[in-house]
Amino acid sequence: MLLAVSCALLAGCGVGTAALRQTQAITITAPAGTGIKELPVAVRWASTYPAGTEFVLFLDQAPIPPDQELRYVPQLLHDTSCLIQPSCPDASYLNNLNIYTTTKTSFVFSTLPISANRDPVTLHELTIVALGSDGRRIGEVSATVSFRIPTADTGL
Amino acid sequence: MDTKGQPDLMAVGYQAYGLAADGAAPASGTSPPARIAGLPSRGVLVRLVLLSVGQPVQLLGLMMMAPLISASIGVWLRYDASIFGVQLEYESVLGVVGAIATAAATVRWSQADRGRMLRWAAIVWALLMVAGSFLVTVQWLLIGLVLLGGACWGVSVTLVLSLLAESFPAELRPRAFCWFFAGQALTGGIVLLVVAYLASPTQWTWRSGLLVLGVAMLLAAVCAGRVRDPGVGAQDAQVMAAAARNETGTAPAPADAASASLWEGFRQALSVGSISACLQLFVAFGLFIAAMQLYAAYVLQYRFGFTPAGATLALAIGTLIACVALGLLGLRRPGPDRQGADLRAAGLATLVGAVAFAVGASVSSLPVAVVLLAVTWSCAYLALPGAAVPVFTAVHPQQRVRGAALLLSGVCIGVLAGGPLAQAFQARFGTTCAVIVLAVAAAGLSVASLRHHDRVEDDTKKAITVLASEAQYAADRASGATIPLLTCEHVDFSYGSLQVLFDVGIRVDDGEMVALLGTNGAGKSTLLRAISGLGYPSGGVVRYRGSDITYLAPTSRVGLGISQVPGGRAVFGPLSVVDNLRVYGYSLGRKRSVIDQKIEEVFDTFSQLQARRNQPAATLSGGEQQMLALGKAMILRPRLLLIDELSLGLAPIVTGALLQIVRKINESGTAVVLVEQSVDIALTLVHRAYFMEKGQIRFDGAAADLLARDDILRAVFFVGEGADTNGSPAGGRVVNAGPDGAESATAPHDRTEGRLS
Repeated sequence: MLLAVSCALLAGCGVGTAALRQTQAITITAPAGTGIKELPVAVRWASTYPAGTEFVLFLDQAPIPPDQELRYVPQLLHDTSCLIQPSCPDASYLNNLNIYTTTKTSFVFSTLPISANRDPVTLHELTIVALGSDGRRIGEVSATVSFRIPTADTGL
Repeated sequence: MDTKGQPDLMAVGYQAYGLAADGAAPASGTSPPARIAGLPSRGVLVRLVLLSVGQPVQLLGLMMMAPLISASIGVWLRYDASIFGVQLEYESVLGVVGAIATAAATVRWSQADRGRMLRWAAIVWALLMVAGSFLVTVQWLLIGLVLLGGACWGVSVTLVLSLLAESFPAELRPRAFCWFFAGQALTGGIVLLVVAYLASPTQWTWRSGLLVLGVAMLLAAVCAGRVRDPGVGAQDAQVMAAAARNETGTAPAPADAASASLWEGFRQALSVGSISACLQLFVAFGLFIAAMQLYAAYVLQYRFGFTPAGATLALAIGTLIACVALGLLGLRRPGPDRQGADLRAAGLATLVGAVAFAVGASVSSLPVAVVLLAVTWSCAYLALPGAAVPVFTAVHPQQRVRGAALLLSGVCIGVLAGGPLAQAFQARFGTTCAVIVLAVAAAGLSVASLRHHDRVEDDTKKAITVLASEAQYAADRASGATIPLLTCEHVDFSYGSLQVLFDVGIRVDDGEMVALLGTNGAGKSTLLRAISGLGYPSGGVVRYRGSDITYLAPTSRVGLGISQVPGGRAVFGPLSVVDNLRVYGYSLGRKRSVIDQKIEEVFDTFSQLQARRNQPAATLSGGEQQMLALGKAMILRPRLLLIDELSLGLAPIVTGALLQIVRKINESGTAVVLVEQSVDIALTLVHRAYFMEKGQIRFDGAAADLLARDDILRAVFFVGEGADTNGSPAGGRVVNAGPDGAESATAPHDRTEGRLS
């Protein structure tokens, strides 16, 4: 009975939009392996999205929520100086926050942010999401990869 | 009080608590709990494990699933692993709230069925997880899930641990707790395996994992059925009460009227010395939980290049090894007097875990690091039964739910302190340093706990003594026997680390006037503070009409009819005389007309005050201020009046007049405990007197008899502190109102046996 009630409740709450299965729409192919990498680090991925789809790479942070535009970022930061400009956020604004956009299926990190911690090796985590033609994130699809580089090696 | 059955009651208590009989005679006509021979109630154990499946799901599952959820719905909290930390902090805060709310509910509804509460909590929790797997689409919904889940965690732990303690006799509790925690480790390992699978390249999302875990929780809750709540003290207090009733042939007595409030109960539980050691170990466990995400996320991933799935898998294996170790630990043969040793072993296990943790985070060898991770996690789990069981034997059965809430609070404190501590050190000095700091903190707690393990047995014996006394009082009450108005049993009192009362026992009957005599610093005023609630004893029990009021707030005691005239000039100086009296009247919530009438009665008695009714109290003479203090007591019309040093600094003629008033108050039916240094004054007024020296009661007897015994007076007042106990006059009586006369382990002096004749 409880299960029936739960299912009924869930059915009324838009259960259909939640994804229980991965779509494999983005699959990261590089960097592979668990060894320590060196700069530059090339990231490559395969995608089932049509060519020209814009991908957003979030380094060491969570991506924007589903169905949000990139303006979510300055909104979250309450950056009114950016929000008053129609073109904001632009690439340089995002890059300063370690967010990168590309329409290709690869991206090369020639520099990486200096790690806040004092560990000899820094663990970076990269999450890739796709934007639809309306500039909003497509569903909950994401792909994540971790890679390690020596902390001293920032490329700067 | 009829005390003839107390040795038997103590024997029953020792048997129920699985302790060596300590020379007590076997209980006649009573038997230990019938199920003590083997591990009983396996069904209960399985049910409790099934109803606790949510605990590893919430604590381990959600913690390790956080990166998946974050990448999916874009939880933008802060960079890197602070997502985990913040989540754990939310859970911990709400965990404490849930635990305290549960303890409060069981105080408010003392007859509440904990088994039913637990089952509903498990079902709600499972539905929360099932719903969360679909509905969590934005950050605040995730936070809501974490918060509500945290509250369910607090409720669940509090109820499960208290039910576990009530369902098994003391002798079998270590085994039951071992196997319960083994069950939890097993479910924790399975949960982590599910998360590890999800974190690997798979076709399933975190939502499917949460759904599976939520449905599993729901099925477990449904399959577990209802756990029967055996009732408070089913394995000990109820057994002793039944034995007392058998002795007197009476029916069960009504419940204790002056039950402690929520915070008074916490205070009572915390006053038990060995509980602090248990709490320290649970705080250390919280540190380990906080440390595990650090270990998994950083040490395994950044140092050895594990994927998140691999790190989670390593944790799962460590948890399953802990399950096996706990299962084997539970196979040990139950034995008496083992809890202190178990607590010590728990402290050592925590210490070993802390060292393994620090070394594991520093080594460069992968196999060694993984083995040490398993050792750390196993040791953390292995410490739990030994650290938990004493809480449920050394505290009064009515405080067991609060004891469980305290344990959970200990874990939460460890998590709350460990997360920010680790992050602060990680940012400044690196991950290895952060791990070592957490390990050192856990090791420090374990070392601190090792100092207290030998107190468990003493604390348990004290608990048995209290229960025996309660059982006897309940039986006497049911049989219509006279119950003393006030008893202090084995009262210890400390100011910080300085103990000033040692195993003190006094008894005051209804309408009696009793003097507490002794030199300065003997502990007389401190004993009054313990009776009035201005201070709380570190051990022992204060009973008022048979009810335990040891940790009752002073305001509640006033309501029960206990009032104190403190030493010195106990008046509100800036207030007028009449306002001083009115304040006391309002404290009982009486109507103004009634208070005015009482005030006029006071003025009739103290005509000197009548003339100064509108004068500030500070301008009164010393004698007048004492009159006013007594007048306040008359307003309250207490059943028990405690008077501290009435004659201090007053002329003899004034003192004489005041004492006549005290006599009148006593003649009107109020029992009086009079603290005096002036022996002549006191003994001409009171029925009985107690002599105190160095925080102990040396002698008691009828006032007339004591007046005739110059040798006693000389020994106490003239020889004073230099008096040799062995040289004390023969015929003094050990005064202890408790049911058994058991000696306090902390008492520094031998006591003289015999009775003043």
